[in-house]
Amino acid sequence: MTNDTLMPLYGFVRGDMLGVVVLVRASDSVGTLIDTLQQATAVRVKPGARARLFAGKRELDRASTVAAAGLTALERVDLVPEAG
Amino acid sequence: MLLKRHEWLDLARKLDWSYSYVQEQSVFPEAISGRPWLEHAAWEDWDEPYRTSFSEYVSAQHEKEASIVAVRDAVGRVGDFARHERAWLSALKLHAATLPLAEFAAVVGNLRAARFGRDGAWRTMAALGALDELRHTQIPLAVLHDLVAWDPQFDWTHRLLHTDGWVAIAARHFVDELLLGSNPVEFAVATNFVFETGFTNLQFVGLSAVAHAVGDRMFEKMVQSIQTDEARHAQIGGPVLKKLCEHDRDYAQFLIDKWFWRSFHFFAVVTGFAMDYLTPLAQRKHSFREFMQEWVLEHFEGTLREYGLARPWYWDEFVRSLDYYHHQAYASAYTYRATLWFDLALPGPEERAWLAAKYPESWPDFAPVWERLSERWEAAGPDVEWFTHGVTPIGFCSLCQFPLCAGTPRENSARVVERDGRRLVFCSEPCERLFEREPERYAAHETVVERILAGKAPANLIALVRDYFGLSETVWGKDTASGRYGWLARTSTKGSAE
Repeated sequence: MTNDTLMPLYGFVRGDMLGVVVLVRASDSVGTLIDTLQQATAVRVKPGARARLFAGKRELDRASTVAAAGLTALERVDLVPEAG
Repeated sequence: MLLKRHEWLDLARKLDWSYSYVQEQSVFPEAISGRPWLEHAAWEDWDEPYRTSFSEYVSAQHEKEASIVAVRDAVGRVGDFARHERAWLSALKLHAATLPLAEFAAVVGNLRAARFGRDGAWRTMAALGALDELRHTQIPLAVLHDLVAWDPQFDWTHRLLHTDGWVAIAARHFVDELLLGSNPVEFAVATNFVFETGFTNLQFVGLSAVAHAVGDRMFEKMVQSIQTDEARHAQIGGPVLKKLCEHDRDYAQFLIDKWFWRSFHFFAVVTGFAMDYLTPLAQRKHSFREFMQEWVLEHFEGTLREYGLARPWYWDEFVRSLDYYHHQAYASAYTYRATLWFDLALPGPEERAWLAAKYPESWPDFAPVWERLSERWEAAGPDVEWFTHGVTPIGFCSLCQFPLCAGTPRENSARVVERDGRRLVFCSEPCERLFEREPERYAAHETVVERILAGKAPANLIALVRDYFGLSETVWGKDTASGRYGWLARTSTKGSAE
């Protein structure tokens, strides 16, 4: 997989009703993934001023890239919005 | 001299014979008739309580047909439907689309049992059941598809299962296995015992009461008429399950566990939406959960005890999901309504108060979502549907094919699983376990997401809805009031809707 390959992930935002499928690039930052997920579910859940992202029990560093975070296609990630 | 009824009835309805030039196993192969395979001697005490002859059946059905036609002539015209609230019409469209072609698949399942069921009385009742299901295909088509010239969404009465919409995919996945792919033993336990005795027979009683309260005499009559047939042919299930329990109790338990869970998902979406969201508030008697507890849980649990069977292993999860699953599914559907063929209503303050009272434990998790949607409607103004509509593709369960909306809003129960180099996703632990028990049945099926990733379906949501789901802008689902809610300005929280 190159850094430009689009990769689908199952995303779950706490407080939301269902899981969505977002596309990210391996070179995208985890912060970008957080923004993408918040926008994807903004119709139902108000985006948090801050948010934490988890892959299983592992919290992901928002400064690292999707590739460096070890995420692979169709993996589950969980976003926990936090009020500002 | 003519024989009296009791002298000829069993000759007509319970006819079997001994084979002289062929083995019984060749006439009723296990692969088609089902397991456990037993000599006919083990089945010959099989019986059901209705003990109907064909001529009696025809007379009774003729009267029912005449009654349906009379009600339709009197109160089943466009003008009669036009006076109903738009949300109730959506409940009709949902039932209209999910009924007829599923019932037609049940014709096939019954006909297989009419040939390969292991006792004459079973085969006779299954033959009458096939005629019942043909009737249940025709009635909704006659009553509701005829409204298509007035409202094109009623075209889905016939069209749904001919499309690749996500509901159609989920419905076919369920119906094909339940009604087309099952042998007569599994069909009797799954369809006659679990689905009909456990769910739809009671659902039709409850639904006709709701239709009566709403003043929809046509739908009330239609559902009542269908229910009288279901009550009769559902009687096939009990005697088959009894025999199964005597010879292979583990398999009996497995079939109960599997089909109760699969039926519940289908049932929660169709009936849960109608009871808690699409029935006008003034006519709501019970919540979906109350209905399930009173009519399904207590009844079904008691019936299982009579057969010496245990509650399904996921029972606690199932009971908990009565507070959550259909609410999550409805809010998901509302924000993806253009993927459906019927309109959805935004619950207003009075409806939310009713829901909060009926679901005190779970509603605090749902209220913020409806507040958010209300804010966005207020910010956008009427008719701006897209501002309260999702645009990102959603995930679907590799077993039930419904969206990943199980668990709770705080902790969605979906799980991703590696299997044979493929990554599957299940909405819940029961769906995963049921898949793993019979992977050969399910592994070849692709979810909507897998179809998109394989290039078989478009990734763009508009293209997916139009070109793959077969919905045009005039037909796809919208808000029932197009955002024109009088309460919206009065109750606004003036929150940000960025």
